[in-house]
Amino acid sequence: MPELVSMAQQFTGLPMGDLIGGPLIAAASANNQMAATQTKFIMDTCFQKEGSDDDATYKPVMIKMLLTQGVINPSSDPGGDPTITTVDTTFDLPLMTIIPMNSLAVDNVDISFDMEVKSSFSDERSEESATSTAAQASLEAKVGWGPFSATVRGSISHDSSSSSSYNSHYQKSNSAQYSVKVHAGQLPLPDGVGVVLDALTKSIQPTIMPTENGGS
Amino acid sequence: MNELSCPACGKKILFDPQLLLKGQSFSCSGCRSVISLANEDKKQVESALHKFNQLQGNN
Ligand SMILES: [Zn+2]
Repeated sequence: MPELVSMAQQFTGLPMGDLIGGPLIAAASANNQMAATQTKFIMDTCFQKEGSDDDATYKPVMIKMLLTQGVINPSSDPGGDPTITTVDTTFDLPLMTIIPMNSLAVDNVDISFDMEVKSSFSDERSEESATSTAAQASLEAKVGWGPFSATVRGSISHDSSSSSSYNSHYQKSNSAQYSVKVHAGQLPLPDGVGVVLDALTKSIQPTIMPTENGGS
Repeated sequence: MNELSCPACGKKILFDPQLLLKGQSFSCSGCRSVISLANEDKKQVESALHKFNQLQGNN
């Protein structure tokens, strides 16, 4: 009779390194690709390359913004109410600050590995035996004297039947399921990008020119 | 929401780039100055945002 398969044996030899490491490496590679495409986008769209490749400088692309400020105008009449007017000015803003920059990356990798080993063995045996015996006998004898006569009739019948059947059924099945869930989400901006954005944003601050007497 | 420092008072102004592109203005909580995108650069911003959204969609 075949033995049931050993569960431990089924799990040994599984390429666990590939099963777990494979999706992780793929996720890291996807992250790398996403970072590279974002960097390319920033450099191509938000900066203007100047000079040759060896000695290139990148100037941020600036866009024009409108700034509307309320200005209080004192009344020309003594004791009159001041009036508020709005003044429109323009200022340049680095395009990069307008882009909803983020770090799109694979932030979660779920590897679930279900292996189901099913082993079943079934053995069916059935044996049928039927024996029937029918015996029939009839005997008639007649014995006489004088003219000698003798009659012997006889009949014997015998019937015997036997049948047997044997069924053996062996069943074994293996199934394995491997599922990998990868989720891409937003990560905080890398510090370096934050520093660049901060520097660019500060570049729009109005610069106070020194006064004639040397103060500022 | 993105943010930039108010050119007038330095406080943070929060803004939505898509709404800014549509013409909405955003005000500074410090000095009530209002910022908006100048018409002349709308095309450039639109193109950059479009490219950026495509980039996000592809990943
Ligand atoms: Zn302000």
